[in-house]
Amino acid sequence: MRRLMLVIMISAFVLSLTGCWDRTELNDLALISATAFDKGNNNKILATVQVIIPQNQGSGQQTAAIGGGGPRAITRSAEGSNIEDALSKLQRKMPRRLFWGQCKIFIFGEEIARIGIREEFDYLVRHPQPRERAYLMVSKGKASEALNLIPPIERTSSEALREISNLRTGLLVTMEQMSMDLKGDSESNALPMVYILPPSKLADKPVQTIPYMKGAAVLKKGKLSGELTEKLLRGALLIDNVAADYSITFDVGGKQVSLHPVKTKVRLTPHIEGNNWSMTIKVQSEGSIVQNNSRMNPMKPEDLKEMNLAFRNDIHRRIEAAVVYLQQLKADTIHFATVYHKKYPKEWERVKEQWDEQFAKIKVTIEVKTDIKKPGLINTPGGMPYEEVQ
Amino acid sequence: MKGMGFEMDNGKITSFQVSLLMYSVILATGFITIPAISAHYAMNDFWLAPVLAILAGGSVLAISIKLHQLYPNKNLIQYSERIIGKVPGKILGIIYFQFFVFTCGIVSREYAEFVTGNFLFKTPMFCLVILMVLLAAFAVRGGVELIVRSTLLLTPLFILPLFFLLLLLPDFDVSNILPFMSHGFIPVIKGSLAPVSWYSEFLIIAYFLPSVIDQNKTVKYSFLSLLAVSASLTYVCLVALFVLGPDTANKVYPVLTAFRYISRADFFENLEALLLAMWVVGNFIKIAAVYYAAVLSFTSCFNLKDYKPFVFPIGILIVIHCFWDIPSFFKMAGFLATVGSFHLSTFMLVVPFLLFIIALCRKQWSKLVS
Amino acid sequence: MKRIGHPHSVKSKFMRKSRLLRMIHSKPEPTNKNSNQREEAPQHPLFSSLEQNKQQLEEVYSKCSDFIIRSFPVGDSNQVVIYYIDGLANASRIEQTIVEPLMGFNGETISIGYLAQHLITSASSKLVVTFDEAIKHLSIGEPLLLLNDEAQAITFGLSNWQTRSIEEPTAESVIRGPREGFTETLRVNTSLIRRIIKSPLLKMDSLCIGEYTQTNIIVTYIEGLAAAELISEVKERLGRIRIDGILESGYIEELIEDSPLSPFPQILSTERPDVVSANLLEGRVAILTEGTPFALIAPITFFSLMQSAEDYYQRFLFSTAIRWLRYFFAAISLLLPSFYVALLTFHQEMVPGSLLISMATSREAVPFPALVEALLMEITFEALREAGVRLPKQIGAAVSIVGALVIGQAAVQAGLVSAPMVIIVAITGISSFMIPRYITGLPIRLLRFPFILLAGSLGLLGIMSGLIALVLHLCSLKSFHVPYLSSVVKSDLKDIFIRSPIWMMDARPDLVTETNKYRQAQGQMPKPSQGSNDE
Repeated sequence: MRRLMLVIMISAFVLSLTGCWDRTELNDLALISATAFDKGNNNKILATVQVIIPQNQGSGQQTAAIGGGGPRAITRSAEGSNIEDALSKLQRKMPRRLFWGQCKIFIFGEEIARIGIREEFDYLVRHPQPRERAYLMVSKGKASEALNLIPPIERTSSEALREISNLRTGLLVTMEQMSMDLKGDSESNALPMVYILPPSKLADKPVQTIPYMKGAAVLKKGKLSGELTEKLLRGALLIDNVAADYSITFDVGGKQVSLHPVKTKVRLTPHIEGNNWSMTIKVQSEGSIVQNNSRMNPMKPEDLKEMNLAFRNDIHRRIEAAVVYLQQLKADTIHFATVYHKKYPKEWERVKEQWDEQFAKIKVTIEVKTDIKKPGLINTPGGMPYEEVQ
Repeated sequence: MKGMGFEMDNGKITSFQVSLLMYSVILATGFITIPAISAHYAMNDFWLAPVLAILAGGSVLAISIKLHQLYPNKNLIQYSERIIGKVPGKILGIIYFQFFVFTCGIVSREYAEFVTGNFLFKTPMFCLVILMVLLAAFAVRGGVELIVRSTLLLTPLFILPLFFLLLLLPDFDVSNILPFMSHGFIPVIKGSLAPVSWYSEFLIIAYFLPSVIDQNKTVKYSFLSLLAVSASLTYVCLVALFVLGPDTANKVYPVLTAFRYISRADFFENLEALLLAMWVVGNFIKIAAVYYAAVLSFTSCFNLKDYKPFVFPIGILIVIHCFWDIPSFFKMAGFLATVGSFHLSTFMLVVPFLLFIIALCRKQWSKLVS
Repeated sequence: MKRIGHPHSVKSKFMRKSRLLRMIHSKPEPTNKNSNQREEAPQHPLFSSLEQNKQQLEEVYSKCSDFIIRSFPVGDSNQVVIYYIDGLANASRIEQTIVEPLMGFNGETISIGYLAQHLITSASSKLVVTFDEAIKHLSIGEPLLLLNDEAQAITFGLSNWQTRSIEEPTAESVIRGPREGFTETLRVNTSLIRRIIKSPLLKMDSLCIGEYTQTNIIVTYIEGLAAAELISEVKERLGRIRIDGILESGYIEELIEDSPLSPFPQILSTERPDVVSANLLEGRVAILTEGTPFALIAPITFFSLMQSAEDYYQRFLFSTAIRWLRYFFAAISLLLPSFYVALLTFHQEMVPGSLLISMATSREAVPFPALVEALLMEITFEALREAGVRLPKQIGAAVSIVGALVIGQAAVQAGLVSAPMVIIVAITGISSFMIPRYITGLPIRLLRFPFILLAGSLGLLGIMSGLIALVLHLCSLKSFHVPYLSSVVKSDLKDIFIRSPIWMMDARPDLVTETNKYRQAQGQMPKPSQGSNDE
């Protein structure tokens, strides 16, 4: 009996005391959908946030009555000596409290990436609000421009970027992965590179387009030190074995054959003999034909063999190109360091300090096995008479 | 009221219930803190630490059960009076009372720091601590039966969030476990000091054993509980290692980060609030158990028949300790990672061990005499 | 508490009538023989003079227009007086079985025994020797016959008052299962139980509570199944009651509960004879009360409140699934609005992105904080629900239409509440109807509000603290010394989280009885007979 009274008294006490320490109404939050960091004047940082305007979200009948039609998001920028400084200045320009819980995209401008993002990255993993799942990107040119676009299909430009990433066709780096890479053995990693798609001819305004990702920025210790083209990125992705859904087009006797989807298994086997470090990349790829421009008939064993060979050479070339380029850059974005560390911890410990140099010296051998699994719905090349296909 | 040892709490509980209670007591704070501390020392071998620490946990359990068998129906304070004499026993009782109040204060502080640092940034810590200590006080006042019964109901709430970690399965990188023991055995041993001190909290069982009715099952269930603790902790460590890899040591709360990282189908995202729920429940159980030990230490020390009037005053003492002993989060983390391990294991492992040795000697001696 | 200590001081407050009446009313109930709190009140023997008896009785029943007096001579020298209460006694049967044979008799002086045994053709009759007994029988409609020069009287079982017919219980309807429900008549109710449990071990102890209403209460149990301590505990608690009147079993419930301040009922009330019988078979005790169709069952656990009679009549797999659904929706009903408030005001990041944006959109025009909005809507919903129960049936439909339109549609359109909140309230409402027993729904409905407040002040942490407090409370509750959650604690889970098949539930619930552990032969899982298997 007394216990109940006490419980009631205590809850009354708690309730009257708490009022609203941490309570924030949804209406008082500025939902940030993406953030961009650029180099500002005098070595300052220019932070740009894209904030969703809830009034303009045209969902449901009631909002139609309230408003809608306007832009669905807006960007705001502020400069500061570091991220927190810039953001606190930004907060002063916003009538609502900045809310990071749904911010899924962080874009670094090319210039600031060149200076290095390590120090600023600290804020993103230390502050409790930004999410570890957020995607990190580097933009060609100013990062804030990517946020200023008004996408025709998606709600915001950041959502367009996020949806593209979620298709998992290309490189995808979350904040936690970045944090692990920066802490990890090689201290180098690749981030997707953001470009702005030229607007469609149907667009009314030049901003009616979306940002998209092409190639990758290579970061050494958080500093932008090179760029992987889309083709090189494919090779690098093959080694890391991260992309899930992609197609490969290769030449067979001057004509193209495309496979989709391609499944690849990669095994990295490091060796150390004295001072000779070498790495064997064993690749096993398989795919199904979706287009066949050549005159080959995959149902014939000898033709299939030839196609397989071409497929193999193509993959070999891609990987080789990527490795050669990265070794030139001395940037180990393909995590060779981790592989060596795991297998040869003692030897690795010795070269740890000069890993970049050591990485460039590694002799890489690539062994590819390929298998074209399925011909698709037709056997001989379509769109031509039977006789033409020998 | 049978036998010579008077019972202050007439509640009757079973071995299984006590073991479940101990599981939550060890893991409530263990889940959150141990991976970070162990990873700090043992790098990527820190998942071995909870396994190694079984030795310490097992010896604490063995000692407390054996001592209880030597002096049935008596708690730690009551039999230490028998073992080392009345006055030293009383002094030890007061020390233990102080120790448990201090531990309870630390646990409350850990809880409040975690909540205010990650969820409720502006809520005064004072309020959270008072709310929690009050809830625990109600449980303690209700007696041992209420504590274990509510534990039985709350433990599922406590364990369930752990299964959510399996949602991270696609993000697992099992090879993070390599290189295995690249720095030798010493870092692992250093890393296992933290779990050792946590496991030594099994000593609290000494305060619950007098109320257990099925004594014959105590050994079985309590060691099962130890194994379960170790398995759960290893599981959590492995998940943290697989997901965070070399980054684990860098995180203040690796498990929290792992929870934050969960994302399934764009819907099951940002589930750290579930961890908060688990944390609150676990801490309630832990604080209630340590609180109970503190209250019992006090009353057995002064041979008081009824412990209920002392529950709330001791609660105030706990709240005071929670704020006075620890000036800041950094001090608390430093304490837990360094001195705390020794402090806890001294009282929970070394002292009971000495008591046990003395008790055995006394038994032998009295045999020799007769 | 005072009532027990000083029975007379309390009683004298409301006993200002005739001296006899007061004395009659202080007549002890049968159970009081054991309880020493109250001394034995004196009985008032009938006088041997008819005139004195008449005078006394008629004084007691003065100004009672329904008190009928019929006085006539019998034979040569005898005079009888018949009293009965109009409407309660069967007047035509009195005519047939008492008045006719007596008037046709013209013998000599007779004794009352002779009269009862040889003249009157009524099936049941009983000799009474005190005024107290006489009044008791009169008040339940049995005619009383007084004969001159006799210090005894006879009563006849000729009461016949208006009763409601047996109908289907409205609050606990089932699809499969018996459709009989208790009525307001005690005898009908006992007969309904006796029809199910025919063993003479089914005991029905009768007692009388209420100074003015003199309500008959029957404590029923099965001897050998119900623990003896339990039976005496129930009777002891009933015996403690000192009150003007018992109008419904709710009075008794409140007066014998273990923790009267708890929001949770610790005694089950049901209108279904099959539920009562099932509980009696599990060793519990039922209390039937005159004048209400609701029987009380004790002791219970929290989980018996979450069960429906039909659980045992349907296939066990389905019943198990339904049970889980019920537990889930009970939790929803308790926690959903508070969870919504916590998410919206504390843990916005937990809401998936696009959902959060659409919630933000719909909340944009709402002037209230989420906490106030939730409280407002929940209170409105409870009001609508209560109004629906109290209003005449014809208007009930109108209320629901007005409620749905006004609250649901207009409020959202006017931007007073957000559409998600309406959905939340609707789901909460529906889930509260999932709870099979009305009385279980009440605490959940009530506790929803503190939970909303807690969520509004501390978010999920507040909800968890509330849950811990709730668990502590439930764990400390007891129903007749049986812990409220004992079935969980004793890990007798066969009938809680699953409804095991009947052939698996061999043992009785061990919370009630120590002896007589098994209720059926073990290993009765049906299978094709051995013979057909061999072939």
